[in-house]
Amino acid sequence: MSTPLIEFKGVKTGYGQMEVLHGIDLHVDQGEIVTLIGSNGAGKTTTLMTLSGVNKVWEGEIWYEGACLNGVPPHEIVARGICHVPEGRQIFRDLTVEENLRLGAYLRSDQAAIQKDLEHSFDMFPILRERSFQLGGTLSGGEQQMLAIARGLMGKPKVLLLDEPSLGLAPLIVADIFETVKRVNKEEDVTVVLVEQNANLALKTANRGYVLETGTITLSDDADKLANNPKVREAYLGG
Amino acid sequence: MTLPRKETRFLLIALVALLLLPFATMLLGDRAWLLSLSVGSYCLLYMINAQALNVQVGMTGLLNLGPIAFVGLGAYTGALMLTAGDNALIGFYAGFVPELSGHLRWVLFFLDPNFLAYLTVIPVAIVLSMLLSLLLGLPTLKLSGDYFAIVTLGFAQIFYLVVKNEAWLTKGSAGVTDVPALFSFCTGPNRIEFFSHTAHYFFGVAVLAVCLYVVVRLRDSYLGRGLLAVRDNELAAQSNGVNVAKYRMLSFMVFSALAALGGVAMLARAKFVSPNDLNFMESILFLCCVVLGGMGSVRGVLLGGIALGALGEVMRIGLPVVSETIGYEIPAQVRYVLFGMILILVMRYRPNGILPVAAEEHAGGLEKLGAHRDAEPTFFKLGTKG
Amino acid sequence: MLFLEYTLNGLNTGILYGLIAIGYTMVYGIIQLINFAHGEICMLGAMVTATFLGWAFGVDAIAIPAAGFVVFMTLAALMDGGFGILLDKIAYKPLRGSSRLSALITAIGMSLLLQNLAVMIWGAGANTIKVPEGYTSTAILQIGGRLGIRITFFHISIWLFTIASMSGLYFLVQKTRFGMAMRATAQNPTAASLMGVRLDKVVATTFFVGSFLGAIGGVAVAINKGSFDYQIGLYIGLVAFAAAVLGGIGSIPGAMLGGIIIGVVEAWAAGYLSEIPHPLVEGGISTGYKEAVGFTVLILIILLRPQGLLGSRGGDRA
Repeated sequence: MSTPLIEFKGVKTGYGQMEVLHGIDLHVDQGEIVTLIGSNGAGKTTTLMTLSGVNKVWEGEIWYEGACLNGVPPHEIVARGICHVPEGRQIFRDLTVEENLRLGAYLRSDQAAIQKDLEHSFDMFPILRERSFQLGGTLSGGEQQMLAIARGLMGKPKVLLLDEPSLGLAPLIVADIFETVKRVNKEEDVTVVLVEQNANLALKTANRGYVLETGTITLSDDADKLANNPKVREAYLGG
Repeated sequence: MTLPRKETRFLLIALVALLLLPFATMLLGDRAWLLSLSVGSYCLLYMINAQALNVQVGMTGLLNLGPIAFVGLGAYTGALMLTAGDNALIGFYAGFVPELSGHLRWVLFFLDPNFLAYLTVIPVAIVLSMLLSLLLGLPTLKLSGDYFAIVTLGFAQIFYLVVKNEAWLTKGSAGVTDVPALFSFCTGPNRIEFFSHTAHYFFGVAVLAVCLYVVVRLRDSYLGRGLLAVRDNELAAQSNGVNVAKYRMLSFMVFSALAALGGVAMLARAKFVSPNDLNFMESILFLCCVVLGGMGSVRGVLLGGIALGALGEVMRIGLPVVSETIGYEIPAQVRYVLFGMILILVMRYRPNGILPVAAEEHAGGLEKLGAHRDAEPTFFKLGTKG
Repeated sequence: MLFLEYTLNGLNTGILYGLIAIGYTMVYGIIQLINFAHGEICMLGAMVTATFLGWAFGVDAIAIPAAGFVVFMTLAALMDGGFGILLDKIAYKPLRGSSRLSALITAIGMSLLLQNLAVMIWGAGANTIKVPEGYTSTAILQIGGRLGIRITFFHISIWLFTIASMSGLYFLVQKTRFGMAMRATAQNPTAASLMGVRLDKVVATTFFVGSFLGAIGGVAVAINKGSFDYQIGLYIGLVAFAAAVLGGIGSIPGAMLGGIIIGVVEAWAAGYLSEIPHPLVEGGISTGYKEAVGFTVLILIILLRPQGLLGSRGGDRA
C-alpha cells in the first residue's frame, strides 16, 4: 500500500492553554471521501483548522504529499492544494458573488482557466449566476453554502475540507450539495475530508469514517461498517 | 484560600511602613527628610490614582485614557471651594470651633477649621466626579472598549480646554493659587514645623488606606466577581446573565470617586492647581503603574505606583545632576521613553505584570472564577470554535 | 465673504486631516486596532522631510528648487511608509491573538516612545519645512483684499495630491486582485487566509499606504502651520482619528469626508466662536475652544452614530 495523501501522527493542539486534540492519528488516501463524525466540541473543526494551518500543531506531525506541514502558513497550504470550506460558510458578505468566487482562485494566475472555472461553477450552481453581482451577504443560507463550496473548488484543490456543509439547510438542498460533493470527488478526482453532524448522511457519502470523542479518535472503519456499528448507531444515528 | 490573608498582611505592612517612613528618614538629616517627604508624597498620589484606575482598567478591562480629568475635577472642586469668598468655608468653621492652642491643636486635629473644610470638600468632589462618570458612562459603556477609551481621552482634552478657557471660574492658565493648607497650624504664625511638612503626607497615606480598603472589599464582593467576569470573558458573562453595562458603570463610578479623592490629596500636597496638572501624560503614567504592577492586582499596582512615582521623581531631580556631572545634557524625555518602553515590553512579555505578587494573585482570581483567561476578545486572531 | 474664506481654509486643512485619517481607518479596518502611534508616524514624516531638505540645501537655505522639494518629500514619505511597516512588525505583530486591550496599550506606548525619541533626535524646539519660493505665498487666485480668499500653489498641490491619492486608493482597493484580498481580510481574516491570502502582506501594505499618506499629510500640516514640533502628532492624530470615526471607521471615502467636515467646523469655530456671547461673562466664547471641535465631534458621533456617516456595520465587528 502506498503512503497516504494526508497523515496525522499523534497531533495535539488547542487554544490558549486548553488542549483540544489529545494526540490523534488518522490518514486519508488519494481519491477518498473520509468523514469525521462526533458530537459538538469533539474537535472536528479543530482538526480541519489544524490541517489548513490556521491552528498550530503543538505536538506530533501532519504529513501531506510526503512533506511535513508543521509550521507551514495557511496561504502556503492552500497553494499546495488543500482547500478548506469553513463552518458557518464564512463567505465574504460585502463582496459580490463573483468576487467571492474569484477570491477562491486567489493563488491562481491562469486568467483564461479561471474564467472557464467560473463558468463551470455557474453551471454547477445556476442560482449563483443569477446572483453574481449581488453581495454575498444577501444570499440565502443554501445559496451561501453553494457559494462556499463553489469558492472552495475555484482553487482547483487536490483536497477539499468541508466543515458542516449541511448546517441549517433544508433537506432537499442538503441532498443536492452532497450529490455535488460526490460528483466532484469522482469526476475531478478531488479527495474530500468531510466533517458533519448529520452522521447518517456523512456515512452514506463517505468511503471511510473516524469517530472523534473529546479530542480522541475512538473508532475508525469503512463508512458502511461504522453505520452498522451498534455504538455508533446509538450515539450518532439515533438508535 | 490563603491569598486574601496574605494580601491583607502585605497591605497593612505597606501602610505601616509608609506611616513610619518620615520618622525613619528624620534620622538622616533635614535634607534627606525633606527629599523623602517630597518623593514619598508624590508616590502616594500615583499609588492612589493607579489604584483607582486599577478598578476600571485592571478589574473590568475597560481602558480609560482620561483619568486625569477626574483627578483634576477633584482638585479643582477642592481648590475653588476652599478659596471661594476669601476662604469663607474655613472662616465658617472657625466661627464655631473653639480656637485651640499648644499640643491640643494637633491632638484634636479633626477640629481644625482647615481640616473640617477639607472634609467638607471631599464628598462634594466625589459626588461631582461620580455624576460626571454617570453622564459620560451611560451612553458610552454599551460600546466596545476601544470607543470608550477614545471618548475618555477626548473628554479629558475638552475638560482641559474648559479649565484653561473659563477663567472666570477656574482662573485660567494661571491656576488656583494660595489654596489653604490642610491644617491651620501648617502655615502662618501658629505653624508647627513637623506638621507643616508632613501633614499632607499622612493625609495621603490615609487616603491610600481608604482606597485600598474600598478596592479590596469591592473585589472580594460578589460585585467584584462580576467585574472580573466581565473582564475575562465579556460574552460568557453576558450569557450567564451578568449585565455587562451595569458592571462597567459600577467600576467607572468607583474609579471616579477614588480619583476625585486622589485629586483632593494632590491639592493638599501642592496647595495649587493649574491646567498644567491636567496633562495627558499624567493619564498615561497612571496607566503605566497599573500595567507594570499587573492589571487587577491590588498589591502589584501598589508597588507599580511606588516604583514609577519614585522613578519619575528621582529622574526629575537626578537627571540634571547627572547631566552636570558627566557634562552631557541628558534630555528630560528619557523618562517618557522609558515609560513608553515599559508599556510595550510588559504587554509583550509579561501581560499580567512584572511583579511576582501579581502573577500569584492572578492565578488565584481565575481559580475563583473558574473562567479561562484566553477566552477574552482578541485582536485579529485567526481562530474558530473547537 | 468671510464665511467663504473660513470654509475654504477649513477645506484646505480638512483634506489633510482626511489624508491622515485614511491611515487610521485602513489599519482599523484590517486588524481592528486604533493605531495610536499613527500621529507620531505623521510627525516623523515631517521631521524627516525637514532633515532631508536641510541636508540637501543647507539649513539656512531661503529658497529651494521645486523638484528637490518633491523628491525629498517623496523619499521621506516612502521611508515613513517603511517605519509604518516596522512599527507593525516590532510592536503589534507579536500581539496578534492576545487581548485587544494589550494591543491598544502597546499602541499608546509606541506613541509615547516615538514622540520622545523624536525629542532626543530633533530637540523640543520648533522646526520648519523649507518650501520652494512662492510656494505658499504667491496667490494664483485672489478675491478681496489682503486677507480675502487666496489660493496658492500649496493649496493647488495638496488638492491635486488628495484627488490623485484617493483615485489611486479607489483603484487599488476596488479594482485590483490584491484590493479584493484586502477587503476580504477586513471582513473575515480567517476565511481570507483559507483562500490563500497572505495576511502579513495585506497588513504590511495597509501600514505602508497609511503611513505614506500620513507623512504627506504631516508635511502639509507642518507647512500650513508654519512651524511644528514633536507634539504635532498628538493633536493631528487625535483629530484625524475623530475624522475616521466620523466618516465610519473602515471606510476610506468616509475618512476623507470626516476630515473635511472637522476641518471646516474647526475653521468656523476659529472664526465665529468669539462672536457668540458667553452666557456668564462679558465678551465672546474663547477661540481656544477651536481645538475642542475634533473631540466634541468625536464624542457626539460615538454617542449618536457609532458606525459613522459612511460606515456599514455596527461600530464594532468583534
